[in-house]
Amino acid sequence: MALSVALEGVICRYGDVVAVDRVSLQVASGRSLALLGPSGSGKSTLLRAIAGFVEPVAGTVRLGERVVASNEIFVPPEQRRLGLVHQQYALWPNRTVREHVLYPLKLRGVRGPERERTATELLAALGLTELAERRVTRLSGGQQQRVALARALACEPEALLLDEPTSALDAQLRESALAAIRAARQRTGVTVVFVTHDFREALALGDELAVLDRGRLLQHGPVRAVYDAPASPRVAELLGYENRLRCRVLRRTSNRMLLALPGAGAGTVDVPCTVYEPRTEALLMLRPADLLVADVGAEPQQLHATVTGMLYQGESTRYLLRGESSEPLTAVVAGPPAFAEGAVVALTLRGAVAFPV
Amino acid sequence: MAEVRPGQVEGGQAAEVRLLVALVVAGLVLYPLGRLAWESARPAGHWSASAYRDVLSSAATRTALWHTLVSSALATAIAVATGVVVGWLVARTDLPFRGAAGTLLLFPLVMPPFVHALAWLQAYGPVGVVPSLWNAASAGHGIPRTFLGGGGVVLLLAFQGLPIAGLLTLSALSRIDAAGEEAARIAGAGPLRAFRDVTLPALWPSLAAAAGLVFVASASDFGVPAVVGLPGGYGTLTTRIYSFLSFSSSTASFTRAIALSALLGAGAAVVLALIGLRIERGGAAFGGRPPAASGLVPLGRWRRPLAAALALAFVVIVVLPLLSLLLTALTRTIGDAPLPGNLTLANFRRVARLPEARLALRTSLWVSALAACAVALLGLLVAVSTRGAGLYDRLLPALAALPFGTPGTVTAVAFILGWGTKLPIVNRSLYGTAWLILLAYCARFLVFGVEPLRAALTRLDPALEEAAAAAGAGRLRRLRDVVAPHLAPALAATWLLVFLTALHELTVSALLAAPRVTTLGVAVLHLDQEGDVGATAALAVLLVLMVALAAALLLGLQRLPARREAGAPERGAAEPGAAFEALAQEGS
Repeated sequence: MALSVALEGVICRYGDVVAVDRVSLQVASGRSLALLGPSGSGKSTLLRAIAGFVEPVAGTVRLGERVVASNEIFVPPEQRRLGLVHQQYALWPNRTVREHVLYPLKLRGVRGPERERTATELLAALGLTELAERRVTRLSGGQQQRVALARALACEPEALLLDEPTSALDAQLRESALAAIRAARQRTGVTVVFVTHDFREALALGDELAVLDRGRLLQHGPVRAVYDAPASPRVAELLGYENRLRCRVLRRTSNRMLLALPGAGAGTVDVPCTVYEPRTEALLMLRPADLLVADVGAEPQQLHATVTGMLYQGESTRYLLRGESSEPLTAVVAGPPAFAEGAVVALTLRGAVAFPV
Repeated sequence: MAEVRPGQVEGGQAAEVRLLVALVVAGLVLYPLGRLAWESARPAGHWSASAYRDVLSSAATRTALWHTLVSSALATAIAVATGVVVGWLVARTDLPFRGAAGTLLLFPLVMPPFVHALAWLQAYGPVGVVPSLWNAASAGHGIPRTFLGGGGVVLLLAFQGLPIAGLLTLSALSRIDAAGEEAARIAGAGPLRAFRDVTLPALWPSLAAAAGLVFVASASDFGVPAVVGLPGGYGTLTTRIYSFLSFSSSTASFTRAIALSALLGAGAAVVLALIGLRIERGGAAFGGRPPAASGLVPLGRWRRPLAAALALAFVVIVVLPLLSLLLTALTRTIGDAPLPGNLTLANFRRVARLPEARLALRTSLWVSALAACAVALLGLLVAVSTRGAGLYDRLLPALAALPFGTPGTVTAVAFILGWGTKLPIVNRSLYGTAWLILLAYCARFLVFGVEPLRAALTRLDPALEEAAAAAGAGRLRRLRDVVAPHLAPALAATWLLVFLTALHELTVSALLAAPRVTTLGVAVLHLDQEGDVGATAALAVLLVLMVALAAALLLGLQRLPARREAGAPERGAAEPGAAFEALAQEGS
């Protein structure tokens, strides 16, 4: 049975350091929430506060209707009925795969044949049947991750917590690990809260996205909504909007506005409107894929830049560019390199977000 | 680092150097110990077990054996049980001042067992400072006066073993991933159950090792039973061997000493071999991440009371006894209240005029200094000549560590047999001279030179030497220009460690001392046996001060590399260094 998870004004402290500062968040039953932030943002502490390994100094943590942490109440981890997958999996070196799954069942009082049956089913669901009698130290990273997942799901937790679910895996294994987690979600309908520093992982696995920095919650909402409309330059930066351009606001309509790009005769760009007044400055932020690179054409009104470096990545090419009057820019273009270093190119903007300066 | 064995350099060392080093180590280690085994098994010139039977037939010896087994077993039980708790508190919980608690575990460094025993008696003994204060306050009503004899021996041996168990637990816990316990908690286990189900199984090998080491150290200890046991009629194997050698000069009693030493040595070897096997078999591979600050187990409302209890224990066990020792050294008559009017430096002045004390100070200083130089040099040679992976490279360091695992009493008897007899050519005997003590120290503390220097050598990137070779530096030149500067801190640490350990050594020198040859430890013991409490306390205080000075230098030295290589945390800085752990395992 899946339960909602709700935090209200949670503050966590280590000595004098405030790791989590007045965070309020909730995720509905059966949904999945990504906690995204750089290291030191407090995302892991928040997860540990939900798990019960960190006691908030203030605020309330609720699982469904049950208060598990507040001023008066603190429910220890073993009584919260949660599943947790550690970043490095935290498997027990002296036990077999099957024993990992049996342990939580035993502690929850599941008996005899039922315990064995549940374990067998779970191992089968995660493709671990063949490995059931092996010691976990002999398993590959991907297999270890599935064992940790099986252990966490063993007694039908009310919510599943994942700490950097795929960061310990190679790039190739990542996709299959994400698939395993998604499959488990679909089968059980469990509520998921996970921590990540990689916005791609957050997008792949989350229904909702909460962006944290220095212990504060910066933005929370459905993943697409947050990804497409970051609320601040800092959130945009954490979501992969690498490029910054300073622009002037020319005019605006009810839901769009027209900006003048930096550099003489560089042209204009039309972006979703926020509330800026004409003739003020705006900061434009773009993802590398939103910058199109082309030959300098006949059109006079174009943003020009010089290629200062490039990185051929197989499916795509990453260009490092220097505009006439901007910070260095990065563009990712599909296909092999088409421009040499030193070449002058014309840039077209496919989409961007704007912030006041 | 996994594939290329660090420190393995092309060419290796010249065969002559390896042969020479092997000969010296064999002469220091194999020959005396082998001679002991040989002589004990051939008491009348042919193979026979009669010597063993003879010595064990005496009721007094059997009592001593019984006392040794019982006191060591009890001390081990107490030390390991409390050591695990202390180690766990320091390693895994948010106990206040955890770092300081970990450092205080190193205290045996400045407090040799017999000095601790003396200080303990000064504090809590029948005429101790605490009872006299207590009596003054309560007009003579009740305080236990039973610290002499078996109870005192067990207690003091347990205090001595506690740091060993605590440090081993600490270092084992720092290798066991704390997240394993968290996974058990989430699965539904309470904190104690999680510890039992997850951490304890992984901790067993270290606990077994701690128990074995504490047991051997307790059974090998001479100072504690000599100071606390004997006055209460509680002798052990080591005091029995001492009395065989010191209070009689008959051949029969010498034969008994040899037989009993061989038995004691064999017993220690069996226990150490058992725990060695246990460690090799039980060492499960772990993720090995110490918990982050966020992973520490919160003690909640027990935090302060536990810290206070630990601090109180430290005060009762260490601080009060040391203060009492100091007070006794500074008061005119025993039992005087420590009032300003009763304070005096007379005891120190008297000690300074005592011929035995002056001799002991002189001898201890030069013997310790020379032993430190010799061990540093020999350790360097062993370390440099065993950088490969062959049989020689594994066997020689093991051999060098042997005398340290051997009870000091056994080492002393082995050296009397091996190097105390008339030497050919010079036609003189080393027995009864300080040179024999020096030789025995070189063997006993050789491991302090070999292990840290080998460890330092494996941290030396072979590429540095290869680069020097490519630049045209020959083998000696490389040793001087590349290897030696890298090893300098380790060499200095070795020197200090050997020096301070030798300075407070008692067990070996008690058996090798002669009328004109004595050491500080022996002098303190003699003064104590003569009942000169004030002089004993004064000399013991001097001894502790000198050792503390050397230890402070050593600690400063251990912190040096960390400061220089900021950002690259090394073991020695963050936690008690390996050398200290080795010292804590000493069974002097």
